[in-house]
Amino acid sequence: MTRKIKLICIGLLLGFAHFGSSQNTQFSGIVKYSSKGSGVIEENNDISGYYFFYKTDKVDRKNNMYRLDVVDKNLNNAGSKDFVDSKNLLLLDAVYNGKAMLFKFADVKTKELIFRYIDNKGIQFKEERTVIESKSDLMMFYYEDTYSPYKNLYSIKDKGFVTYGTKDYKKDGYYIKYMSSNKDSKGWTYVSEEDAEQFQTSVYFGCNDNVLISLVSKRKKYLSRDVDMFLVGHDVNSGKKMFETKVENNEFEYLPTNSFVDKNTNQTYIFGTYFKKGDNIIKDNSLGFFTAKITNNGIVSGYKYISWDVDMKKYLPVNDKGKVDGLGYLFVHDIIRDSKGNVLIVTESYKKAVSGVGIAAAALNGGSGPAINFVTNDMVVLELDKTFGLVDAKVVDKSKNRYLMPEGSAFWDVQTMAYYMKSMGAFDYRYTTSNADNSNINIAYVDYNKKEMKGSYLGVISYKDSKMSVDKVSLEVKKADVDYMPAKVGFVAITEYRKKEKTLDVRMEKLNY
Amino acid sequence: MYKKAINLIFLVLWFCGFSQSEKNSFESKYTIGLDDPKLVSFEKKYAKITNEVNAKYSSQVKKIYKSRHDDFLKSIKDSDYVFNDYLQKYLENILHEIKEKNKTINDIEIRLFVNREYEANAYSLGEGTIGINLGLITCLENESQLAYILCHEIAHILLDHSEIDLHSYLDLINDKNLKKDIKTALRNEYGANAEVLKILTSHGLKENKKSRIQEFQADSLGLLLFQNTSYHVLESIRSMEILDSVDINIASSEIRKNLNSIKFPFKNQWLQDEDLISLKQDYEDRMLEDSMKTHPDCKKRIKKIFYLINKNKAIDQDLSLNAQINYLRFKNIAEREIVKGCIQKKNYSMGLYFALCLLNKYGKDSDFTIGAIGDILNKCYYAQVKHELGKSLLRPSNDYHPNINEINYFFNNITLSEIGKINYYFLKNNLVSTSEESYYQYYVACDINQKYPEKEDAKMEYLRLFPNGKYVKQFNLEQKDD
Repeated sequence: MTRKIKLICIGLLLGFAHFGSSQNTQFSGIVKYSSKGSGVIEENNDISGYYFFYKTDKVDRKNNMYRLDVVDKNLNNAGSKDFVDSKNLLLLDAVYNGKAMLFKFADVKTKELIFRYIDNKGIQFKEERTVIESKSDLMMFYYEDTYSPYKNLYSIKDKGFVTYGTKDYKKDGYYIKYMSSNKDSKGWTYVSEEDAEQFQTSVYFGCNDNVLISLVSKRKKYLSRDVDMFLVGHDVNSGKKMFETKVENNEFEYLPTNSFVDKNTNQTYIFGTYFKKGDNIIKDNSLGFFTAKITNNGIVSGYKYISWDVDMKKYLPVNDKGKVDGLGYLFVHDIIRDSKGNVLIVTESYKKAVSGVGIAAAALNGGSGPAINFVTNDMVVLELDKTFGLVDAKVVDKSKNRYLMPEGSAFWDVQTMAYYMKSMGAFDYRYTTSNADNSNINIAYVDYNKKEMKGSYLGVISYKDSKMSVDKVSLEVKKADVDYMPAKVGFVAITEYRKKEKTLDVRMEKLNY
Repeated sequence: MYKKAINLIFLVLWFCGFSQSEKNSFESKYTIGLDDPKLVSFEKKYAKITNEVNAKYSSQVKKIYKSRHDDFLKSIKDSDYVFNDYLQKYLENILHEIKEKNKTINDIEIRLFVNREYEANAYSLGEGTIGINLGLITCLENESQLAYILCHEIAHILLDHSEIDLHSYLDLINDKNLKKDIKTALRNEYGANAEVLKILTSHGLKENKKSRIQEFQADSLGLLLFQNTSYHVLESIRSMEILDSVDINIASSEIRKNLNSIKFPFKNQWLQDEDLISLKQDYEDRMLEDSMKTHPDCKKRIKKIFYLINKNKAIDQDLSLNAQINYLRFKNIAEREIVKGCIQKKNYSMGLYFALCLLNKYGKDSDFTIGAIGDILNKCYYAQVKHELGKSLLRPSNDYHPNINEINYFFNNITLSEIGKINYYFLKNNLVSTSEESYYQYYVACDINQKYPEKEDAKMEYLRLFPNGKYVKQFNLEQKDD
């Protein structure tokens, strides 16, 4: 049998039976392995499964045959869908809301977003197409990935899904597209005003049973760092705009960054950093963290503060600008409320440092300004009680990692630097997963430790019933390329690729706590 | 009625007396040397058939023979088979009965091997080697049923199905027209893979259909051989019925009851299941699946066998008491070997499942079961510490029977420290004075749970009860290190 025929047969066999239900899932005949075209199917903070999307045939000049394989959270084959579609199709993301899966495709030629809804029986019951008008949205196609900073598809439990986009006005605006997973409902789209006097962008902020909240930034000039942040609320079912609120009062300036919903009371809480009155929330150093309540009509109240210079100092050696001695500043990756009502703020410490190597290179090339390293350091989890008072700050040791910053970045403020490096994937934090009632929370990061772990490892900070533990899963195996995939809470999915044997083994490993 | 009552009394007495004599029956080996008569015969046979190749594609045939030969020897080396005198003699006696009553097959050389797999299956390698899985032995009820299965496999040999399949395969891969069709299909700019798939599927369906016909042929000829023996002819149908329902009739391990203790009660959350996403198969896919099967539906096979049975031979006869007792003993050895095989192959999910089923069937006084469960859970603990337990467990899936999935969810939900504790209390409450394994595993469990005074007591008790035990040397070495 010729090699080509053999490869096809192997590929076809893969199509028929490439998932086992034994201990490992093994793929064989892998000539080339790439993670593009695959991803996780998220359900709120947990993983429901994984998808693999690939071309299986050319049908005609314009169309290909594709296969979408879905695997459940235990890596068992959950079914496949074959369909014919444009040869210019990309699969960007997939989410699950408890009742339906939504797959977000893009046709890069017709510049359309295609949303396909699949119910729990694997039947596609809806499809929606939207023309992408915005140039910046088109660029984002190539960066969208489930765990990248450009994640832009969210599930609303049992109800629907939401995504955001840009409107190319004279001053860019945004749209919010809510898609109902109810077969008979169309959902709604909100579009910002075309003649607005400011550039506006919007991202998902949070959602309770009634109101979807988006975080909208407004600025007069495109690259301006004078930015106002608003919380915009829409009725989830009807799309009616309920409020547009700037978080402000007479005391401080505020930058909301995260939200969480108390499932028992349907109350939404907002979280972020606060600043001296009159300060710039993008450029200036914050005074600490704040929490507050927001009603379904956008009224913010119940402010509580965790200041650097008083509250945080009880647990960490921090100065009044928020810099922790020996660690640096804290970048907030996530905030989650556990089943007992306590709040965890997941942060990673970072700082900027002058780079010796960079100085030499700059001197040779005649560059401007000192060369700067962005240095990440330990993880720090801040623990708040039910009343949002800081009760502990747990430092989890991690190696320092250095990234050379672009030229001219010496003049950037620390916050801007951090957001830029977050977008470049420089932080070691990877993801947070939790079960349905948040009694079990996993916070994952990557690190390298030659002595203890013999190389790379995935570190997982777990909070089970509010008790913290740290587990480390080695990513070093002889004669194999080892990697990980986010997995259901309490587990990691380890992949071992053996180039010589052309096999890829995937298995679930439980965390220890 | 009276006869049945006497049988029942004898069976009960047999169970009581069984444990005393079981030890000698359970000395098994898991590999044999090339000088073993069976392998010497195997090598001679392969040398003969290789030399005699004078067919089309002779070099390819020789290559395939070599590959089969090497694969089989590798499986011997990899301990895929069990070599136990009792098991072996039992099977040889059945073979002897079949050959005695069927003189035409007396000269056929047949080598029987017992495979350690827990799935109910038997197979013929074509040149006289027949493999019987432990899982087949344990799912059948009596010797007659096993004898029929053996007759079926012998029929495959007599009908030369292995050689027919080999040449059919070689005809396929050397088929110039097929190669031409595939090359032409591949040259298509569009739909190339679909066309190739269509061609290969069509050939695959034909091959599978041939395979199903061969199974019917082996059923028929096997029945003829079987009917000549003194076995109960209707057991041929019963064996098919059992195989048809083997994936449905899966007993409960009663894990909750078996691993519960007062000091460490079994937690409901350990058996908490999950909502798993699933896309149902299309109807067309299911239909295609039936035609992709290599074996016909059991119900169809039963119908054909029933039609063929010589009704005059089907007299109502009870199996002899001795035969029943012997089969139970044979089955018991197989059941234990399945657990040992699972442990050796690091399939801890199924190992625990089968061990708990043994516990349900034979109780706690067995000198094997308690130690086996302790061994499995201790190994699970150590594997979990290294984050390697995932390699040794089945994953929860809606494809498994609920009684198997229960074990999967148990491992899915239990934490590392809980594995250590549950095993510690299980062993502490169930130590068997004749089981050195249970004492040794209890010693290990004490270490895991940092119960050091108890660990020392467990060691002393082991040394007292088993002065010549297999772990004595290890304890002495540990003492020297201390």
